[in-house]
Amino acid sequence: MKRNILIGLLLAFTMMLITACGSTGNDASKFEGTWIAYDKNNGVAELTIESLDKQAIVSMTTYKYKALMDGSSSGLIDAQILSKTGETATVHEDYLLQKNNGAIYSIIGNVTNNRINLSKDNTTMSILYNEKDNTLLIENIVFRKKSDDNSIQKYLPEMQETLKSASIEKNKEYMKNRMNQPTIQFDFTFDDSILDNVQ
Amino acid sequence: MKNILKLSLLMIALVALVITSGCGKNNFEGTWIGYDGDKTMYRLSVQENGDSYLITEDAYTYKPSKDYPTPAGYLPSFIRNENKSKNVTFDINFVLTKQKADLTSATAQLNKDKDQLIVGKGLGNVHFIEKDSTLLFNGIRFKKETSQDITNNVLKQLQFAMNQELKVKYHQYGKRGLNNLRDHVILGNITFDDSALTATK
Repeated sequence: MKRNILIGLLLAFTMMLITACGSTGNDASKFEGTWIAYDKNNGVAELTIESLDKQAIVSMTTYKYKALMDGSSSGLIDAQILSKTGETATVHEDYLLQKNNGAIYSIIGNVTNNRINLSKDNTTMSILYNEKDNTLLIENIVFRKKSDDNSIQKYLPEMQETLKSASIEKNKEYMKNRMNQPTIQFDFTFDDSILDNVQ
Repeated sequence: MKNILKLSLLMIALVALVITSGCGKNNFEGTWIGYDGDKTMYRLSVQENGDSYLITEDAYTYKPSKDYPTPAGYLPSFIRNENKSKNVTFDINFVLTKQKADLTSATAQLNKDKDQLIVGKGLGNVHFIEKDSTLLFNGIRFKKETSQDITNNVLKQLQFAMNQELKVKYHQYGKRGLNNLRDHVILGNITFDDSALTATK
């Protein structure tokens, strides 16, 4: 009888130790990791969630290209206005990938079931976990777990193509009614060095 | 039976010791280095003072020692393709500058769970993140300044951010720029003066 009580006591203390110091039963664990969302117009967003038992630290960073040239420095204005039919004019369009930490950065949120509720400066926001397809939803933006097929690097070529097409189409539209019809050659560069520096 | 009893008592004492010691005491005291992920470094100093804590937070950013130089511009010429622009070299010296402190010796109280310092004044709490022994305060993650490397790593990030800023400012006047009505800019020596940190120490 005494022996049973002692074993029971030992078990109880061991349980206390595990629940006090361990991380079992962690509600936020399903949110943990890096999540990526891509939108053609808004760029790539990276959501990082660290689990803290029933809370989580949430950070969101967006990546977008910034144009480094204007109409004069790219040579576009000269090409469109000064070049004549039969001439070839080069246009330099250069872009720099930039990151923006935005409002949700290292914010502690409370986890309730499939939701992380965040609050900052009197505004609230929630992240919903969709267990059916293991995705996260912030308003109507869907975040998927980061993988080889779903990373910032993976979406850069698509973002670059969107910018290239937009410039070429805009120029075509502008040139279609011009008297002079030079050949305008676009030379694009994209600087993604920010990704080498991300910690 | 006696041995089991002794062993059990010993185990209980051991477990009780671990529990009462709080599974590793949260140690807020010291100097902590934080980074906003962009162009600002934070230094949080936490000092135990009786039953409360004193907190000071300083922010540091790089600023050019002089205003950014602007390449000269020229009026358009009637002679087509006339190129008046010349090459100019700009050296930029960035000085690490201490911003106005948000917190100077503010008093904070340890919460009941001993994992947060309550600063008050609408400034939020300083959270101790046990899993990686960091602090989280106002959206900034702080690592304890256990060596100079912690600070140096953040300074490297700030320096990278300033170099990116120079690209945004001057790339269009560089060798890829096709505007012949502006001087062409070559970035020369880009230097960083961190003496503000030594002065603080």
